[in-house]
Amino acid sequence: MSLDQRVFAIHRPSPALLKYYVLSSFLVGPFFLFPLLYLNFRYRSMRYEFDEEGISMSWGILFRRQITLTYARIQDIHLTSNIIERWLGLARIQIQTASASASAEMTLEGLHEFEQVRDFLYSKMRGVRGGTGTAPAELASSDPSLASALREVAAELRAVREALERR
Amino acid sequence: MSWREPILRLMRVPHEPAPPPGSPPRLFRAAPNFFKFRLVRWGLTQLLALAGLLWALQFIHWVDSTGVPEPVIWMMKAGEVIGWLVFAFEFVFGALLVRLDYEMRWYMLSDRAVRIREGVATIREKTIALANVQNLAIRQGPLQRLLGIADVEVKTAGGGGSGGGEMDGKKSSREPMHVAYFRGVANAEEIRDLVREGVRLQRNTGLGDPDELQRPPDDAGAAVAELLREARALRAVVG
Repeated sequence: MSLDQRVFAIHRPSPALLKYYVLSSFLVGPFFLFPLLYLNFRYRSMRYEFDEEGISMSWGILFRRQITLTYARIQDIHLTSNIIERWLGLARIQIQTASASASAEMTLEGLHEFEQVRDFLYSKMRGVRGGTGTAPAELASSDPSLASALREVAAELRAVREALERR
Repeated sequence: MSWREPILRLMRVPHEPAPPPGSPPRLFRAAPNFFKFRLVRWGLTQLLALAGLLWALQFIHWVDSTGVPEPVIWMMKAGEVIGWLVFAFEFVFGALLVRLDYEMRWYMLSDRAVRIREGVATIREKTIALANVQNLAIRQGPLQRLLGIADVEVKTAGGGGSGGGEMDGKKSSREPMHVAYFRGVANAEEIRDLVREGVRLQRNTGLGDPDELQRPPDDAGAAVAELLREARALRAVVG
C-alpha cells in the first residue's frame, strides 16, 4: 500500500489515546472526573477524514466541532510528545496555517503512525508542492494553444519563404 | 554504561530524528557553552528555591512563637519536609536533565526544510519548509554574548499572540508555533546566511498558492525556437 492509501485509511484514533486521556485526567487530582468524562466523549466521537484535498477532524457529543484544513494551506508541522504519550507510542501532530493564532490550528492526536502522517502532510503542504513543478490545470490547458499558435505562425513564415524561393 | 542510557530508555526518548525532506541535511549542534548557559540559569532557579525553603523554615519558627494550635504547626512542618525532599530529588534529576537537554538537540537544514528537535521530557520536533520562511533573526543576551553563543530565530507567516487557535484551550503549548529556534549555536551568522540562501533558492514566496510561480511551458519554448529558425531562413532567402 502506498503512503497516501495508508493515510487515507485512518479514521479513528488509536485506543492508546483513551489510555492517555485516562492517565492525564488522573494527573489533575481529586477533580479527575470532569476531564475524564469530557476526554472520554472526545475520544469516542473523534473522527479523522483524509482525502485528496485536505483533512477534516471532528469531535464532540453536545458541542460538536469540525475542522477542515486544505493541505495546500498547511505551513508548519510540529511533532510533540510527552513521556506518557511516548510510553503509549503516541505523539501529537500540530498543524499550522498562516493564521494569526499562536496555538495549533489542528492537533492530530492518538496516531501511532505519526511520522508517516507527518511525511505525508509534508509532501502535500504549501511551498513544497510548488517546488516539484507540477503545473496546475489552467496553465496546462493554455500551454497547447499557445504552442499551436506559434507553430501556425512558423508554418505561415515557412510558406512565405517557399513562395519567395519559387520566384 | 553511562547514566544516560537508563534515563533515556525510561523516558522513551527516541534517538536521532529522521532527516527533513530534500537533500541530505547539514546538522548543527548547540555549542558547549550553551550547556554552561543553561547550567547557570538552572543554578539561579535552585538558589531561588533554596531561599524559599529557608524562608519557610524561618516563618514556621516565627509562627511557632506566636502560639498557633499544634496541628497547624505540624502541617507546616510536614509541608517543609516534603518541600526539602522534592527539592533534593529535583536538584539531582534537574541537573541531569539540563545535561541531556543540551545533548538531545538536533538542528537540521536541507535544501528544502529546517527540522529542529529539542527537549527530553517533552520532545518537540518542528519542521519548517524553507519556502514558508518569512524572516530570520539572531538573538543574544548579555550572558550569551559573554559565552559566544546566540539563538537563530526562523519565523513563518502568522501571529504570535496568545490563543485564538481553532483548538484553543486544549494543551496548546506556550511555545509559539510560528517560530523555530536554533538555540545556543556558536556560528549563528553562518547558519543565518545558510538559511537565507536556502530561502532565496525557493521558487515561491510562501504567501500565495503553491503554484503561484510557474516556469514557461517547455512546449511553447520549442515552438518559439522553431519560429525563430524559420524567420532566419526567410531572411536568408530574401536578403
